[in-house]
Amino acid sequence: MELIPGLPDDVARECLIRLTYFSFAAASTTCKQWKEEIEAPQFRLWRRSHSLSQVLLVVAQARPAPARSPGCPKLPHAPSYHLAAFDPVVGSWWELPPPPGCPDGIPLFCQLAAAGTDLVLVGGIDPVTWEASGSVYVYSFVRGEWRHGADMPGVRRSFFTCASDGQGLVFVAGGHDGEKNALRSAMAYDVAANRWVPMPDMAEERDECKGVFSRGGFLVLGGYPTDAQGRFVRSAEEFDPATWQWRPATEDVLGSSPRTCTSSISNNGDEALYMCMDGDLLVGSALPDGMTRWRAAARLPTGVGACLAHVATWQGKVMVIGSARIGEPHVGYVLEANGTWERVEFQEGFSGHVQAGCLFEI
Amino acid sequence: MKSYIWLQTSDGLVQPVEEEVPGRSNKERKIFDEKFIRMDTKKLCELTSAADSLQLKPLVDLTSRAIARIIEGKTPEEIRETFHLPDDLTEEEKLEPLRNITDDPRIRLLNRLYARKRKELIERKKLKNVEIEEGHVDERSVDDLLSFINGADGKEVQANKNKKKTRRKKDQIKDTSPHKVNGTHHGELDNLSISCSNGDANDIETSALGEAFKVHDSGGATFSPKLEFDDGDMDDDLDPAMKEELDREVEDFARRLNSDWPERIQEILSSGPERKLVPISIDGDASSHRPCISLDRR
Repeated sequence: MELIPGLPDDVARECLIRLTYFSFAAASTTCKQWKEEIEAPQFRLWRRSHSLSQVLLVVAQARPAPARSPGCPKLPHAPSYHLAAFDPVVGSWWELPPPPGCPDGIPLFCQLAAAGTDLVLVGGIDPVTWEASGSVYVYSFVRGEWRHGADMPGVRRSFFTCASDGQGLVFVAGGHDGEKNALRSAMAYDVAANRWVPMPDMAEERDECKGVFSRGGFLVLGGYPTDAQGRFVRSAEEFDPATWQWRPATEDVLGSSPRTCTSSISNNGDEALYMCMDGDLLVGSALPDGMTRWRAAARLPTGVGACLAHVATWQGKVMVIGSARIGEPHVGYVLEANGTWERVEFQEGFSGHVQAGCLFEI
Repeated sequence: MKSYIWLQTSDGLVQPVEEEVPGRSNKERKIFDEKFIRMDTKKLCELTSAADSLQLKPLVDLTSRAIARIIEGKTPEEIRETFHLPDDLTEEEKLEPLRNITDDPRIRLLNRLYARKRKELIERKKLKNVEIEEGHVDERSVDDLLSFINGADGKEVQANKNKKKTRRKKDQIKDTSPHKVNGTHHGELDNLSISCSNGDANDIETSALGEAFKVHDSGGATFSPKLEFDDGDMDDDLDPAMKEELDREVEDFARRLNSDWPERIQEILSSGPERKLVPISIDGDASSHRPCISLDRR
């Protein structure tokens, strides 16, 4: 049975890889063969090799406050967060359906990870009960549907870091428990098997650390231990999934809190780490001995002066999202090849504070 | 096979430059391609197969993209029908029949058009001098523009009208009105698209624009009929036919607005000096059913 009757299979494949992600759901539920074809990991790789991958930035974004009738004093309230997707090529936003059981918005300070074509939402703080959540929700861009994932085992943690290897494993490390004890434990979530796998502990306790998957390893930077609250350490540790071990911690990697640190694979195949610190965008390149050399790539634009919410990179481009003053709508800036920042206005309704984000190339 | 000619630039530099071979422009080629692949699915598949056998890579690329576009936006049932695929999935493997709003490529197309239009407008604004009294023309958010259109800002409208250069006035109004379309469209689209998701793209737009017209009939803005959509580097996926229809709808709407404009201006001018900047909701207008308009004045 051919993929498309009347066409040789490799030609039919050429047609399918040219679909946009909007049609994945419909196309993968037509017949068995198409389902297999689109859900196979090979499909994404083919799209990438033909330069047909579409980039999608998914963020947890604050929604504007609901309307109040005039005359009623404006009461402060906590914003609710929702998932929105941004297509940087077209420049348009659209809202993702909420996860099941989250009518008041997604958990605050949850973490997002892009595991292939699945969006994994982990943890956070329940917007209604203000309790730390260990829930896991998985959204498949192929099927356009949410499902519940297995809860995070162990102590309920918050402000941990989370990153995916882009292929189906999501790593979680650090954070603090209910007593504000910083944690050194870590674990990994296998998306396909829907199973949490324990990992060895880190060398140090790291609360509010920042993790990124880069060059085949899960790199965790910064954070602070229980007895030095708020004093971010300058060390980093890397976890090697091949050996399932942490490499020894390296000191003096950072200057300050690495809340905004991200990694990307640039055009020529070299993976570069990006970090924002003291108003500069730093890029870290790998040295032969495994260390990272940081150099300033550009000065951050003033438009994100007050609040730098998120940094994302794809295909050699870097985008920062933030706002010029507290409470102002967020805008994005994309770093051009010549070193200038191009401003990207976000459409109305999609310019709230961005709490977390992850990038898909599907 | 490129031919080069030597040119001297104004600073004395002499450089080789590709000579443009007389022929068709890229845009003409694109339009030709679009027309060429307009055929029924069966023929298209045969053409794709032939292109593959003859190893004509550009034609394979063109035809397979066309087939992908046929698949886009269809339900699984429709795809099966078009391509004669077997219905061999179990019930739980299939999706619910309800289509997600984001699946509709027409909405995506409109979003894309509006995104592009917004970008152009912002760029155009950057190039203009600010002469409006409040000096806020470059920073006006969509909210402000909506209130302007609602007639709440009698002062601003008067300032527009009193401009010596009518061209500037036309430019500015031309500037703000598409913004209005964008703004209201985004607002209304959420409400309408769910109900119209199976409808025609034109229906969505006309009904949204119709809503906008109804809501903001206390003050209009002249719509220059020549709303240019910069399609120089427009995406391949934009069907020229659909683009024409959209342009036509926009022109119709412009005409409707234009016919009311003289009366509106009379109204506003006659009450001009007394009018102050008032928040929209106190105006007691039809427009107040949009509670999310901010009351902030810059």
